[in-house]
Amino acid sequence: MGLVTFHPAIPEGMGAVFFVHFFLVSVLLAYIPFSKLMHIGGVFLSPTRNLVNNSRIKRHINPWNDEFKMPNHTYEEYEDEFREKMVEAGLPVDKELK
Amino acid sequence: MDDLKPDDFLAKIDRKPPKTGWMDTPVDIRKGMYCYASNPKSVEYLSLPNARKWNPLEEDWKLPENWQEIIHNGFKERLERFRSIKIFMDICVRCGACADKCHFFIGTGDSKNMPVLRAELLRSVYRNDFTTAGKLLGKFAGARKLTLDVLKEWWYYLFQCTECRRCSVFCPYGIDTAEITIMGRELLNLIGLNIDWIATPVANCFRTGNHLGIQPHAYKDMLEFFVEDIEEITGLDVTPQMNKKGADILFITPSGDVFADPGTYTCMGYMIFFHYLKEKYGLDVTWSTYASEGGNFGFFTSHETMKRLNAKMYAEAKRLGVKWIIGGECGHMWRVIHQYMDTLNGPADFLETPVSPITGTRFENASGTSMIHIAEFTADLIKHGKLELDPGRNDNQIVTYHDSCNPARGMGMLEEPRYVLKNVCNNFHEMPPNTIREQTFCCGSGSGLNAGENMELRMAGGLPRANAVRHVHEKHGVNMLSCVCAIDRAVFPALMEYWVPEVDVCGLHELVANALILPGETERTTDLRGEPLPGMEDGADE
Repeated sequence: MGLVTFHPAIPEGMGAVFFVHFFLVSVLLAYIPFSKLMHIGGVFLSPTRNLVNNSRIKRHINPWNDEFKMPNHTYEEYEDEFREKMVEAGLPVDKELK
Repeated sequence: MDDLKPDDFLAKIDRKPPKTGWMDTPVDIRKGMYCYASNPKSVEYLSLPNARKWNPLEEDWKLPENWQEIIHNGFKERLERFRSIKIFMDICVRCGACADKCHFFIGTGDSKNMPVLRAELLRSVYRNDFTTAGKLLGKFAGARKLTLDVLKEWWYYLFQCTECRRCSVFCPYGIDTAEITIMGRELLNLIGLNIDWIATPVANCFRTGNHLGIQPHAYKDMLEFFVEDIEEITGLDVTPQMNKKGADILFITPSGDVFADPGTYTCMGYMIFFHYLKEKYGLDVTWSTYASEGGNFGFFTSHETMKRLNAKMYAEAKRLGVKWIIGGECGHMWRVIHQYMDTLNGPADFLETPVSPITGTRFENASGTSMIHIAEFTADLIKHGKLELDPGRNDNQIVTYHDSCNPARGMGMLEEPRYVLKNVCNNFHEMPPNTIREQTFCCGSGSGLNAGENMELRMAGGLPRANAVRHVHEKHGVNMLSCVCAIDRAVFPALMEYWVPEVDVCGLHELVANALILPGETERTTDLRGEPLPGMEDGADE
């Protein structure tokens, strides 16, 4: 208890082996912040672990989704390119051939 | 590869790590293990960076001058944007639980194919560029500079990962190496390092609506060709509706199914299935030529490219004014729909929550995306006894089921296909438990690696799966490997031919259509492949 309350008191009759052992325990404790044991927090941070699998039910908003600016290929562009062939094949078109 | 016999292939797998440390072992780009570099025309068509002709075997990859800066900035941006990548870069303890779970490591023995080391290829650069310890301690802290050799190593090994996620199931930290591969490939795309098997399908899909570049009239032709085949077998005209405005449901399937055997039989299966539902219950389904691709190779390029291709699904659903969408049997298509579609291209507020007009089932699991998997739809119909089935017609098939990685691990669809299978065929046997469901082994050719020039890689990656198939083949006489993925159907025939030649490959709805009793059909003597049905072996010649 003495250690925790910052009043360490050494009981009598301690052998050298204890001090060696105690030193090594302290070294181990001091090493923990640099050790891989620190990675354990990652278990709780992994998105694969802490997110609910509900992306077909609920829409998740992505704040930078609109920063994607590359153009899509719209149906109008598609029909413009293939209209003749579509009409010929009997596929319905939005704009008739001129 | 052509003259390498399976036994020699197995003997060749060398699991001894190289004598030098992994950072000091230079990459050896070997023929048969990589896919050809992207065609500049395709890259240009998509307005993606650095379109030029290049060859991975040559010294000079014709990179932009400031390529290191581009990668560094791209890396930085992605670390800020993606919590996944940020955390996965930091928390790995290199415990190695993933190492022997990767089909590519099992099949090649190359230590850089252990997921932990594949990720470490990026992580080492991350430490060098972004962490204090890495900046100060360098190699001692596991950091290294991004040199041209490192970049080549990235390219070689990031295209030896199929993003199947099997490793992530075993990771105590939940690290998803697929996510790391996705980011890595996205970075490589910033400086124009893609493979042609991905870039050209993406360009095709952008232009014609599907990866194979099938133009609308040809797409219709191909379906009509199936109509004729089906008429010969069943005596019925199952002509599907195309681009029909005001239909209730839009159906989107991977274009691989209209193009190559045995996927074509699955496609015929869909057509028969929808014809049955139309005749019997008036189900109003339309196909589309504009959204004629379920798959999305953009997913293997970058998030943005994925979004550009995926946009067609909702755009077409809106234009046609359908109520909701059914998706066909495809792998990564469902990862995109499940995980990204609503976020990228939603909200789908012009669509309704899917309700089966036949059974009244409300698919709450898809209330956001308004798109359900055809296996979910079919399983529901069977559960309510709405399909007349004669499973005896599939008695010549002794079937096993391959959980395609993305629907199984990426989405969680494990029971529906099994339920359907058990109802449409009488002989069904599972492969060993550690090779199915969440722990399913990849086909070895997913994520755009299903080309012809990397056959050795594909046979190596598919080895564990083929092994499991061989096991049930020997134990139960299995002769049919069913799956719900178009890439599986495209690549398994070659894999089976190499490792287990007695086993054939089919899709789920091929078996459904074989068993389905259509109103007014003539007596069927053959299945969709023209093979005689059980008990009809003599009758077929008359």
